[in-house]
Amino acid sequence: MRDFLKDALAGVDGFAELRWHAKTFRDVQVNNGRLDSSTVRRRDGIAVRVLHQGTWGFASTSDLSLAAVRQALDEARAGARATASLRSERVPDLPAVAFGRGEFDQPGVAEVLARSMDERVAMVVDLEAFARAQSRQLSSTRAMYREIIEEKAIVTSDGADCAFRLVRPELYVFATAQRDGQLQTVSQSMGATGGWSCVFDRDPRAMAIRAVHTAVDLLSAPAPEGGKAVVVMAPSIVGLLVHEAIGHTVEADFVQAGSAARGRLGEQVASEKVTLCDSGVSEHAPWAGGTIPVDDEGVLAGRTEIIRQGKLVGYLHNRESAARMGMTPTGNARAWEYSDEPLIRMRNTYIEPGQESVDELIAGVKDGYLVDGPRNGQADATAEFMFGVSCARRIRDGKVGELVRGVTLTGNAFEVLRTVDGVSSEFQWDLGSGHCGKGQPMKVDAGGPFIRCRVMLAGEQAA
Amino acid sequence: MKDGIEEELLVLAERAVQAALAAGAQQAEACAGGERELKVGFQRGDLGSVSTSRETTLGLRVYVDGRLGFVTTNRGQDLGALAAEAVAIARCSPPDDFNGLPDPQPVPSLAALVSPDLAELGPETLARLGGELAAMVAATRDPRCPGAQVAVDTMDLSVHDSARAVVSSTGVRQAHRSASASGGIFGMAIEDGQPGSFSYDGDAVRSAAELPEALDRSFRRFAGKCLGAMGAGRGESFRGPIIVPAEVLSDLLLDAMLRGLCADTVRQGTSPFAGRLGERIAGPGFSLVEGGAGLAGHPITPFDREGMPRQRRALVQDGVLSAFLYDGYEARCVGGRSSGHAAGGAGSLPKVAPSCLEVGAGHLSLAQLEDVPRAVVVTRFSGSIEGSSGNFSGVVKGGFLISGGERRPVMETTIAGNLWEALRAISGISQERESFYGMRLFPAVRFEDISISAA
Repeated sequence: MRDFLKDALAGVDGFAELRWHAKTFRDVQVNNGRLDSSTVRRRDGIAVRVLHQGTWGFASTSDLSLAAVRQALDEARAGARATASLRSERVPDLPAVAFGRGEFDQPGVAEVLARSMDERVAMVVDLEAFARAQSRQLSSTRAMYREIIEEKAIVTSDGADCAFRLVRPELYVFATAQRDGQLQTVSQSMGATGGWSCVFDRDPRAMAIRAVHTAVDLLSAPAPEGGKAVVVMAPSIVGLLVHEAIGHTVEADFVQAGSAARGRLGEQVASEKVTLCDSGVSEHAPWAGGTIPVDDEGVLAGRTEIIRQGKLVGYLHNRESAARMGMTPTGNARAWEYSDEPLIRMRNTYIEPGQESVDELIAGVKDGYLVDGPRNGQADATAEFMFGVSCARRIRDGKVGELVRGVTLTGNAFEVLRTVDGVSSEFQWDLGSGHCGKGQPMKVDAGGPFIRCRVMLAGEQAA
Repeated sequence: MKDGIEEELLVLAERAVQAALAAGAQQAEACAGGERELKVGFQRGDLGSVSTSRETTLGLRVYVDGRLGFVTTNRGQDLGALAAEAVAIARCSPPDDFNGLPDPQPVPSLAALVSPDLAELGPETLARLGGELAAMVAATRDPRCPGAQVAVDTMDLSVHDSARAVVSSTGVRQAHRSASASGGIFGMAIEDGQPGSFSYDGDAVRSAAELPEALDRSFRRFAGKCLGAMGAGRGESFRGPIIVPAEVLSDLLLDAMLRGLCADTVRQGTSPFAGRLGERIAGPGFSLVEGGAGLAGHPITPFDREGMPRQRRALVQDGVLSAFLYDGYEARCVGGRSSGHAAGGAGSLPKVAPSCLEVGAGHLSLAQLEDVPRAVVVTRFSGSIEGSSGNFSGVVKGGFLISGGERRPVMETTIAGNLWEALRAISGISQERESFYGMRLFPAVRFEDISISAA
């Protein structure tokens, strides 16, 4: 495909970028013993982006003929030409960069393709049945397996020439418990970049047991007291915090628009114990769900430091934002499918591990909470966040105690990170299932160590 | 898209159904969709890029001995291979007695919803209009905080032309085409380098002539929301009413409520409304209607994802639960007929969901709705809602406190409670209603007895 794209680019004036992008989605869902979905979705095509008179033009086509790609190039250029005079500020020349050149296949694709659809269906049917058998208080159980096999080839007129294949499997279990008209739903999930074994080497039935027991226990759990609290955040909540409340504010397009991270490079924004990064590589632990070898501009996707020992040191860039801000592209330009334009997106976002054990972090809490399992989350341009937690337990005198329900964490992420006084050496990716949304969905991951900090905690009946 | 695309898609879908039957399916349904889009994107108030796309998607659903298989692709050249894969998936799926395709029902005839003037919306026209709107937003000021300016992060204007055909081996054969122009905007206000809460807005219309006015209205509303969040002070903690404007009603209440009104969640045991038909679930005066083939003046494609006629359905009447929404499968599970609420496109299996919604107008003016000793106006809700229990908690973004006859912006005010209890504690609904994207028509609503905490 790289040769075909290079042929299509031959003779094109100015900057042009061609991306062939193929995706195969498989999805099996079983709900209360019924197969809700058993599907295969295939979608591929070629994206064309040109920079003409300082203006971007973009077109996409699912027709893989040379004539169709040339027509898309013409359409993209015509769109840019028609609007160039209306642009206030032209896109600057794109900076030189370390391009990917060659094949960058990631492990696992052959292993997943070797599995039959029967095997996938049987696995989900068995897992849902297992979950359903765990308690008589369940009103609903659901299990779901999804995988995305992704293939790309990217060629640009200024030197990118690369291709790769990767696979991202993910598994979910949902349990809803009911008593006296009250319902509690808990989900457990895992998602990865890698083969079948990176999901199924961990026993999926342990996920089912945890989801069911938590849902049942929440029926009788008390609501917490609201107010400022010391919490030990598990990697799932750390991941949500660094992705939603920090990561989006350091995406350079959002920085330029005026996010809370604008103009703060060099400022101490977190505790010295915090070094926060985003990487296309699965750092510290394998199989992170947002792993990419190169981004959709053909730029090698390495590790980018955002906060180093508490100081804000970097933003996440595509080639245009790097040119505008006089910085280096970081390999964060990503498009969800072939018909999407690349946007600045995170990959695997995390806090570097520290020196303490989880037990030590908990032992240092006289009165607080251990919070794990994001229920949902939202953050703002101001770095203010609001995260629901599905599994929160009291800590008293250094011991983990009872479950509490309806816990929501809120605050300003930079202020919370200033209060971090403990970081564990244990590290885990824990946000690899599901998608990040920013106009387009995107597979990302996030995680890190356990951290101890102070945060506002709201119960479901606060005040 | 070219004239006659509906017939082309029908032919493609028919060929796919025949291929599936030849491959061993006992029942088959094909949904073919054609789309073309032109989009002009803005970033930080300036033109970003112009993009065009076109695509045909085919989804093939088959049943073999009550077993389901589904395959979708954006290249329909090799229908034999596609059909064989769908049948192979079905053969390894567990059987289900309720699986099967619906029989055809009469669908009202509706001409293509394609206004000829949409062809005039080329890249340059959209870019010019976008530039004018961006300038208008940038120039908007609030006298309370004259130094604050709205920063547009992203804005886009687009023209979307789509057609769909649904054909099945049970005799369904439907096709329709529609086109629209739309715009969306996302950003926040900034004062002295400090950003406020982000906001977003947008609208969609059926003709080019309507677009400037519709986007001017929604983008002004966006600017007002961004600036309204600036200069906020500390709120008050109390238990009392919140006032939810029309544009927030979905986020805070209706999205969670609608899930529970879809028959699949009733069957699955996750609906809080299961077994409660005929019961009062909301305060008197609250009525919720699914608009079927479109709200007044805003028709949509008259059939659903399964080719069934979309039916208007009163879900809650004067506070009493009166109906659920059904697709073909859910209707068979309860021995009924589809209500025409199978949602989705050619790229997905049908799933029960509403298409357009209307909440009935109340008897109070907006001013009367706010005429209370103390309340919080929720201009945006950022928080968590647990759909099955109804428990919610979150922060009011850009909200206002009404207290002692004054209305002032407040920051970081948390609200918490239970949606299903709040629904029964409605104390006022506005006469005025706002329309969004031609698909939602909502009033503002006042809910009593909510926990409100100032940070």
